[in-house]
Amino acid sequence: MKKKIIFAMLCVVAAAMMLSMMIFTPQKKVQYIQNDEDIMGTISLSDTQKTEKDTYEFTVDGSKAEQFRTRYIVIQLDEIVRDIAQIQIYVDEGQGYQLQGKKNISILEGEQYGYAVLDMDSYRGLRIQADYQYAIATIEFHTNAPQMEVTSVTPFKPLLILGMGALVVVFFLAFFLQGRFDVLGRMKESFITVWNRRKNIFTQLMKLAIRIGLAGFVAYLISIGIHYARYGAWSCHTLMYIWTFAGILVILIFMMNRKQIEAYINRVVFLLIITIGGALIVATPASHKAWDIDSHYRWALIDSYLGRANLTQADLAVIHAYDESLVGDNPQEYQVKEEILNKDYQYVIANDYGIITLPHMLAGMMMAVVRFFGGSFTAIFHAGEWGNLILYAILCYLAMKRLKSGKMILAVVALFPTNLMIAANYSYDYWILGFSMVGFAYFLGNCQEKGTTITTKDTVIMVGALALACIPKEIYIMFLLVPFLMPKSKIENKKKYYSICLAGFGVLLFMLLVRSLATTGGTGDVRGGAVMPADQIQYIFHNMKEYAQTLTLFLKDYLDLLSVKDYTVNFAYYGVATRLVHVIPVLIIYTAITDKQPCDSYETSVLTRIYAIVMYVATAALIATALYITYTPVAELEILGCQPRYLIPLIYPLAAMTGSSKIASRMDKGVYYYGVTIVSTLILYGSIYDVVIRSMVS
Amino acid sequence: MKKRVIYSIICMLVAGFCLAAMLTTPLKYAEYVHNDQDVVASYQADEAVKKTDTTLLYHIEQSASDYVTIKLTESMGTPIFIKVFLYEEDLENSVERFNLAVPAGQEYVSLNLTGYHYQNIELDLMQGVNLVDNMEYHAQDTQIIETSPTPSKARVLVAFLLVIAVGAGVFLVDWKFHVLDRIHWRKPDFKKVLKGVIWFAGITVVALILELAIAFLCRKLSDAVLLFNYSRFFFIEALLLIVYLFIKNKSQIVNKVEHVVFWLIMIIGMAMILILPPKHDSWDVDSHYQWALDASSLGKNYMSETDFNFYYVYSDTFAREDRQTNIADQARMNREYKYIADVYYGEISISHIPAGLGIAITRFLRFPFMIIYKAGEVMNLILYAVLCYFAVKKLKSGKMILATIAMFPTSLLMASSYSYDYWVTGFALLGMAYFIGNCQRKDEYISTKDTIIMVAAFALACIPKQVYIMFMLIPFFMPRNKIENKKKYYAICASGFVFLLISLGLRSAGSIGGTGDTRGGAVNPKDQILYILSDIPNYARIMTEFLLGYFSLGTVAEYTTNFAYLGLQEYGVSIIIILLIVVTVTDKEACDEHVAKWYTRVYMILMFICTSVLMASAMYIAFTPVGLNQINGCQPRYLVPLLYPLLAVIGSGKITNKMNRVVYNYAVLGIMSAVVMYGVYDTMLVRMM
Repeated sequence: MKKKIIFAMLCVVAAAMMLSMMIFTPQKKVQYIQNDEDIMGTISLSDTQKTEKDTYEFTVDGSKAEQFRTRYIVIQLDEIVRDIAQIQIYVDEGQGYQLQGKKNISILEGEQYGYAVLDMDSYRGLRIQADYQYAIATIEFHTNAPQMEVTSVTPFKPLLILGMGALVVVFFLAFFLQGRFDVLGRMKESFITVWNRRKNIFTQLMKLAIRIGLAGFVAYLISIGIHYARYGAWSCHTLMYIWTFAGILVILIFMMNRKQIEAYINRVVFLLIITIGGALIVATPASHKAWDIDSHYRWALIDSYLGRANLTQADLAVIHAYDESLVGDNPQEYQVKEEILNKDYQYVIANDYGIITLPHMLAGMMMAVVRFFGGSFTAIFHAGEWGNLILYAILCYLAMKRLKSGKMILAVVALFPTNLMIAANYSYDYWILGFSMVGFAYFLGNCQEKGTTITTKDTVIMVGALALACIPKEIYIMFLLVPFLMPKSKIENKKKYYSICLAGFGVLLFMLLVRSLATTGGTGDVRGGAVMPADQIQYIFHNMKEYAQTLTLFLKDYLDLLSVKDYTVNFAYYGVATRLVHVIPVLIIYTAITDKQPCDSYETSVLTRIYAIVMYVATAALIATALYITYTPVAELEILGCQPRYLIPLIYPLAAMTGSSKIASRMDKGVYYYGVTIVSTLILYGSIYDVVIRSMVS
Repeated sequence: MKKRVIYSIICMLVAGFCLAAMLTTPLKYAEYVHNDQDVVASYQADEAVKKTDTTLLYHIEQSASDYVTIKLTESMGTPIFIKVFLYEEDLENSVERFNLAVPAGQEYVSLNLTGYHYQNIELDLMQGVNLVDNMEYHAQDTQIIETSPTPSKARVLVAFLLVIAVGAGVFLVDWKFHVLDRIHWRKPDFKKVLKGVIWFAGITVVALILELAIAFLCRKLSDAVLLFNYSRFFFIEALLLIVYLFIKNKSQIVNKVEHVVFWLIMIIGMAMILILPPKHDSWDVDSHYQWALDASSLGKNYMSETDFNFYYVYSDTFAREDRQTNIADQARMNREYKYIADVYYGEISISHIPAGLGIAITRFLRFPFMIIYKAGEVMNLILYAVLCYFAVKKLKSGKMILATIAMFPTSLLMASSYSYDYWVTGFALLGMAYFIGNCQRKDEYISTKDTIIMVAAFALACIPKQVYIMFMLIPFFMPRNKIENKKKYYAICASGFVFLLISLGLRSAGSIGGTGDTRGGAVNPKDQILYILSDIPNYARIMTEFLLGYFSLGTVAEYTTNFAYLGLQEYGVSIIIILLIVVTVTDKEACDEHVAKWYTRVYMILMFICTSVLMASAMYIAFTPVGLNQINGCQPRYLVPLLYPLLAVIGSGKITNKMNRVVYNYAVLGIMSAVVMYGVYDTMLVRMM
């Protein structure tokens, strides 16, 4: 009982710390106090020139220049804001409108005024990007800095109550876990083991530290050499250094595990993901570099505040995909953008409410920790990315560990450059991929074990992982039928097994139906144009033949082998790495054929293979149909918005389940593992350098 | 002795028949007898609208008669070719076209326009419209004096001597080596042959019934007038024959898979040949058809107006989109294959001899042009199928790797057309199969016969394109324990290599001094070489960029499912890529374990890259304008002969395939057949529907 209480209390303390970081924020809230007495000059929109929709330019006239010689600008809207109005101001200092010096103004609910403090008081012109919902009444030029009321952000009371409730749940859960699994005892045992081997561990850690230190030094020398070779000057470019350092660490990983690569392959792949993915995070700026960062960052931010986010201007810039949050063209631009974002991350200016989403929880927690300790916007942004990457690496490690054979098929898919890009960013695709790999690995791993039956724990993990994978995109629901293909000889208690499988499938089916009904009744994705889900469904039902033709034509290209570049070496807004792209399909087919062992003969029946192919094609068809309904204008003869990356989670089950166990390989396993992981790593490392790093190193 | 004499006489008779066919032609000289008395209307050249330097347009309100004569300003030393287009009011779409030739030394050419309605006549002269004097309408048809060419005594004598030489050669070779005694003559199984013929006839009848049923249905559905479509009939028959082949050879699909591969190539190739009329469907048919014509005659060649259509790549030699135009083109080609337009002396190239023989024999038997043209293609196809048959037969393992490459749609198209690529690919497959096959036979030495076949096959493969000379080094990688008499073995290998090296040296020297390929633009081989030498790093960069694209999977479609001028069939390429990887990895048996040493593999990779570099460099020198930062004219299909040597050794011998071989071979050949036949449907048959 004593142990149980101690463990439960420890857990409560840890949870309380975490919740505190998520509920409390060190940031301040600011409110502008209106002051009409120091107005130097005023203009209205009639004094400006409209250059494009919602964009106005005001040129400072020579005779009246004096009344506009100020840094303090206040914008007045012609009505009180209902939610939030966003205005962006670009300044022309004589060299045209530049990103440098750009200011964002947010006018909050119930207010009519917003202010900006420019970097300089002398300029040739202003470009004002107005909010499309609210018209600007006047632009005031003030003598003095605006008066602001700065207050601390008070925690949201319902969240405090919720947090308390959560702590109670944690207490009882920990109490139960300690009683059931003796976690404390196990921790103690582990600690004793570590303590007994402390000298050895210390020596190993020292060796590792020295190696990493040496690697850092060598990387420094190499990057200096590269810089000299390219520019003729002895200097070290930070990004080049980071990438070279990552490269040497990768070599170190391979060298340190060379003797027992067969045994350590899971660890090697884990370390490769962390090293290269980590370098990618550190090297790339906090920007809109992958797909839909705006939405995913917002969800992560909401998670980091447990549902009620405190927004700064920098957060709004990312959520609304402003210029400063987009991928830049050169290193200077990156620097300017980072400065703008970090400056704008000063005051909380608004709140955003949302539902907590599971795939973004770890990113949110990491953000909360760094924010609590006063990290800059960039640091917080990257912390969230680290959260996703670590979870992805852990999931890949667990999946590989569960397999007896076919580890290389999984490693090749896990190391697709696009997958690393997604995992090192804000997204839920990494979640789908990671959990689906765990689920399939548990399915295949159990099939590969001769003479054993699947345990309840494994069943729960398999179904749970597949269900978790499907939660963000229920369209992958066919994953949840895979457990039903488990050979009967593997199931001890059929009733229990199928109940667990059915429970997972039922929950997901229900969720899919709810979402489908909600989508059908909705307006669809406005980015698609004249979208109308209900009408589109009617069109499909009335024109089945035409739609079948449209879908077939689409799938021919979508599933084409040569389309792999769009979901394997695609770095979203950085571009596509095409140089080595064609090695990937060869490698995936090669491993699908050769990464087999005798244990695979117990694995898959013809039915499983057929199902893997049907699942691949049918899910692709489902995804395409979903986007035809929600993203494509009614009766269009093509399908819009269906991105090739949606196929990624389907590649591993297809490759792992369709190969034949009748292909026996007598190749040296170590050499084989080395060969495949090295080729995969080279493609990954080279592609990132080719597309991402080179674009940022002038 | 008696047998020897009989066979020598039979060979002499066959050679005599072939040479007789090569000496004679059904084409006739035509002399237009001009009659000034019956001219009913005359249009001077300056009355016509000069559309371009080569085009004149006459507007004819009311044609005075049906008999037209075109007069040149003077008789020329070379033949003058005139394309005549008849138009009504619409000057975009001609009612009919004619290809005429004014033979060297003549001034007139005539045309019978009975039955045609037109308001405009357009004359298109490649040599320029200034050569036209006038166009006359005559009351009566022009009289033409026809004379048949007679072979010169010297050519007859040479032919006679060749026949004697063939007979003597056969006699002496057999006398020395007793070849006839060594051949295990098998009595033909007439019952089996008869059974095969009956099956074939039965399938033909079924195909005919199916075609008629489809035609009937089509007529019901769309009121089409057409009833029977011979192209569709050939396609259906090919499909049925493939199904029959697979069913019939169930027991032989593993042990005698070469039979199946041979017949698949023949069936699909014949479908490709028969579905479309004679067309410029593959690359450089103009040159290759002319070389085949050269090989069809013994020295002196006679060319008809139709032959010239192909040589000058006239638009009507390309496949059209609709059946009616294709049929009309075919009818015109047959019609215009009548008079000699030009006489010239050509050289015989070895790779065009089979096609030349096909042309010569059918021409000798007075077949129409369509048959003559197709006969040349059929001969190429037969040779390719035979080479693939022997190559597959020689292998103990890896037969499906070879079969997959041999059945690339592009390879089959080239084998069913005028080309020498089929020759290069076929002999390279044979040579490599003899190399691999001998390596796979444990504890056996390579025989002198096999050595000669292997080296000769590689040498023959290289003759049309000496740039593949690295093939000749492959025999040197034969494991030492396979060679009994090293001196003899290496002497044979070295002789083949040296012969090709000299040949390559001579051709290179000739090319450098020449003007290069004018199709490339401002080409100058000498300057290009100087440019390369002056900036080698830049050239290395150009080459690397080129090779990255050239070797990428994105280019595979260009040499696997590319139907040349008929279109690129992209949908099958993914299947072919997957299949190639699968067979390369899995088509292995225990005998493959020691086939390729590491250095052999390294050499094959190097050969693949270096030969590509050589080809690209050759094209950069001979086809690319000087100083250009890209390489022009280096077509992906040049990679096909290099694929099998690479894929045959690159897979690991440590892979054992325990799959059911019947299913495996069926799957590979079935998939390839389906991909090719879909390509045939999509690129050829649709043009004839």
